[in-house]
Amino acid sequence: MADVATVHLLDVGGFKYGDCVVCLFGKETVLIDGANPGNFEPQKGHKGLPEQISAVLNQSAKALHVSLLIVSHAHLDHIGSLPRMVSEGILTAEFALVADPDRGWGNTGDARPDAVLDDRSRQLVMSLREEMRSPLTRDDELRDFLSDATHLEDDYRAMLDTLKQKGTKVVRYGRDSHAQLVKRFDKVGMEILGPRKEHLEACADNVTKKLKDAVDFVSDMMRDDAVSSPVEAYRRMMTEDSDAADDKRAGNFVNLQSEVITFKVGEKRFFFAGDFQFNKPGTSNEVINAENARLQTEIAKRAPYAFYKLCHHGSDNGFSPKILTDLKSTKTFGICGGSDKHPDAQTIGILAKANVKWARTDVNRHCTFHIGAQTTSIDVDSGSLNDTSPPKKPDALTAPVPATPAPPVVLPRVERTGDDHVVEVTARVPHTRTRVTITIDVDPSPEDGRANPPEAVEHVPATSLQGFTADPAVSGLLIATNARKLANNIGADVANEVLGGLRAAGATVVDIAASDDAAVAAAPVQAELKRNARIKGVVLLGGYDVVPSHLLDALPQKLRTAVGSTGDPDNFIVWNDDVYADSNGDQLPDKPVSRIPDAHSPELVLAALSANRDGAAASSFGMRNINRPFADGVYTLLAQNAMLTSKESEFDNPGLVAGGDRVYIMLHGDYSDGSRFWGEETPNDREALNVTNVPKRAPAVVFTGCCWGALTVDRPAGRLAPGQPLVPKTPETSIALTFLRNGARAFIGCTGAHYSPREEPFNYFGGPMHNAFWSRVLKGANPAKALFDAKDEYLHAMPHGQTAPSSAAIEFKIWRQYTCLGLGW
Amino acid sequence: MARLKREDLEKIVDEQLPNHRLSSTTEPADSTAGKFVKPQASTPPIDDVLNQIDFGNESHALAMTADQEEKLDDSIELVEPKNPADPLSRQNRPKAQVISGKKKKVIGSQG
Repeated sequence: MADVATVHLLDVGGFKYGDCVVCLFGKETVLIDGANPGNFEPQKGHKGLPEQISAVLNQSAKALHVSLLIVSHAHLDHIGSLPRMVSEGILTAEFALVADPDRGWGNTGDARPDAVLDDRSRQLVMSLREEMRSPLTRDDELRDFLSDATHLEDDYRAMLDTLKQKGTKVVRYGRDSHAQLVKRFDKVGMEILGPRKEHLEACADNVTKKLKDAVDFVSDMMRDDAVSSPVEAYRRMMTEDSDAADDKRAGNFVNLQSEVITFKVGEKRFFFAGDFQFNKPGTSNEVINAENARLQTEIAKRAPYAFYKLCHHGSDNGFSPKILTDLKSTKTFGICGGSDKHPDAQTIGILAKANVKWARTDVNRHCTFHIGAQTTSIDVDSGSLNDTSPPKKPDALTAPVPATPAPPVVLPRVERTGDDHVVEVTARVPHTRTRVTITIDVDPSPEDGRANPPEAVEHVPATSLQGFTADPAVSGLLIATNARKLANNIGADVANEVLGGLRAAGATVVDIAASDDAAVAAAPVQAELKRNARIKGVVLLGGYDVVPSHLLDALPQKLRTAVGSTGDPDNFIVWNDDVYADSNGDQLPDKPVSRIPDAHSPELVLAALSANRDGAAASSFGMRNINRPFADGVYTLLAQNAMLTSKESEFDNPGLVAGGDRVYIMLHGDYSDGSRFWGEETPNDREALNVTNVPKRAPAVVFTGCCWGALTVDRPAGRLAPGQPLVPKTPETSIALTFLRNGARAFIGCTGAHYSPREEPFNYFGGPMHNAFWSRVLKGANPAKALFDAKDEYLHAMPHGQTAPSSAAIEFKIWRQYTCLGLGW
Repeated sequence: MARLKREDLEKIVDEQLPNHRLSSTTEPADSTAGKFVKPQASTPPIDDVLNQIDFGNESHALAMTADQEEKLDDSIELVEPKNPADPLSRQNRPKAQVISGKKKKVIGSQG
């Protein structure tokens, strides 16, 4: 006999909870929530959500359509994969009943209390909206969690916009009227029992209050903690400060905004209420508790149910013996679980004592409830029904991260075989217990032709120690490093091989003193330059912790005195490496200086110095802020096509690849987040470019006018507090370092804020520097030399008509702060 | 050297940068005040450039005449959107704008 309805609780793998439910009510299809962002892709034997939904709906995984999409409430483990499915055009819906983002993130209006925080602190604050993660959670999962929690609101709002643009009738629960929606689904007996507006408002007010508390708490906590990564700080919050942090969590007030919905198909009722905490709302708020009581009465009136999804992943704050009693003869329960705490032992205990059936996704994976007119059956992918075992712990328990660093992994070696379409990948891994992930990326082709991807090349950048041969261009260069500190950062084997390879290729390697003072560290380099006039340039090998940089006042004393206090975000103090090439003591460089920051990444160092970098065909990529028209004039030197502009383009435009032999970027940057650059008038305020737009092979010369684009540590020079250690950025947190890791010859950018001219003909501030650099590159100069000469030309034309002290100061800053990252030769 | 008054700056921003306003955010305090590390090195005097800069006449700074008004220093001011679509976005942080004291207009922008 055909089912009256079928309810699928999809497999959400080993994540800490997550709901994704598909209901088939005759012709009507209802998708409730999208689990976690990580559930989009298959992982560890668990299918990705698009594939699972595709199988259930019997539709293509690339074009899923449902009658109704429901987002129960604004938490990461429910919104999850939906934004990506919508943005990639995989999922469309006729109607969407969604959690109201304004209330989900609190009634803060324009004055968001977390707006003042840096990225690290914001990640912690946003994490307090979500379920606390287990201390056993692996670093990579925590990193993803913190990032996902921070971006969730942006992604969610963008998703709602996209749905509307594609014709979905979007109803924000409690904000928009849902009368038309309920009428549309009257055939399947849809009822929205609540919660009512006053309850939602009370919850939102509490979210706001908790957000403010969390900002204060995190600010205090981080004031004493200048060095921890977000993951380290989060772990500290989970352990040392867990009680205090718990008091700042807004999770229950977001859960309590879950829509309470029933469907009735034939005589069968179905119940869904997200993570509503019926049993333990966690608040004494009278409005909320009154509404909770009213809802429980309404739910009891409609009992029994043919299917009841337990709230909040089977937590005991959503279920109790009284609730079970109220459900009368309800016999079939479903639990969307995960790892760690839920479903709770109390909940399982209550069910175990009753004459009921249940299935839970953390044990049974994909659970299918077939509800017939007379009978009900449950199919599960794994295990047995009515499993009473406690939920699994996170994977860290079974695969502990080694307490001490494992021996260095020999990076994968990639070789072409005789078959033109096949490469052979070999990796050597230490035999100690460890976790190694090897990712092989194949460059996608742009779909809209908007950007020029690099031409296909025959090699990836040499990241194999065994295959390392230094770039012949290093001949005649002076390489300055501290070998011991470099070895600490990238491993002794890699450091020794690299330094030996550089010497063999004709470079002069100078081992500098282990000093934090650039002037002290530079002394032997300056001496070598005096001794050997044939050295063509200086390359600093290592981050600031290996080869210290100077905190340099970009202004001569007379100008500093005249300018006084201004709004320059760096106070005209920048990171600068010129001291290493000052052979005559005039405080100015006599040779080009470039720097390869190690970023604690042997892969980056090997890629930046490898002889195997292939040149792409002479193609150019340009992207600018829509309000920086001066850059168009610069770009005409490079290409005939127009630059991309921020108004029309953003990072997830199909095929956006910042690749080619010459890349010119004129966008906003931010010192606290180097992983993305912004434009203006970008749709939904999203970034124009981020690290994902850097091609996997980047044999490019990159020149940027982005503020702090070449900042390779967490602090601008003008914002470094006394005693504050510097934290190096990584390829994941810096577009510049991503370019270098992917093999770019040079990334030219600023260590402080950049300034653009607004008046035609744009021949002041950044404009002349950009022109001078590219002109020299086009004449065949290596990028390090091109920058050196461009700065000289710029200096001799200063102040470019800007005779007022403050504007002249800007020109001094631009002259001093431009930096060549990468080999540069 | 004197600069435009705040009300003049507000008027210029209002007229020339629609939907923006002067920010009340205080950007890094003078590094000599001890909050931030002092620079380790400074830029040497480049006389050819410094000689072209109009440093004004400090001794007459208090007596503002029409002639001196021509010699106001430019102002570097932090400006922010009045109604940002997303106040959390990095692109909505206050950014410096350069306002010419002589031309009474925005001549340069951070970024």
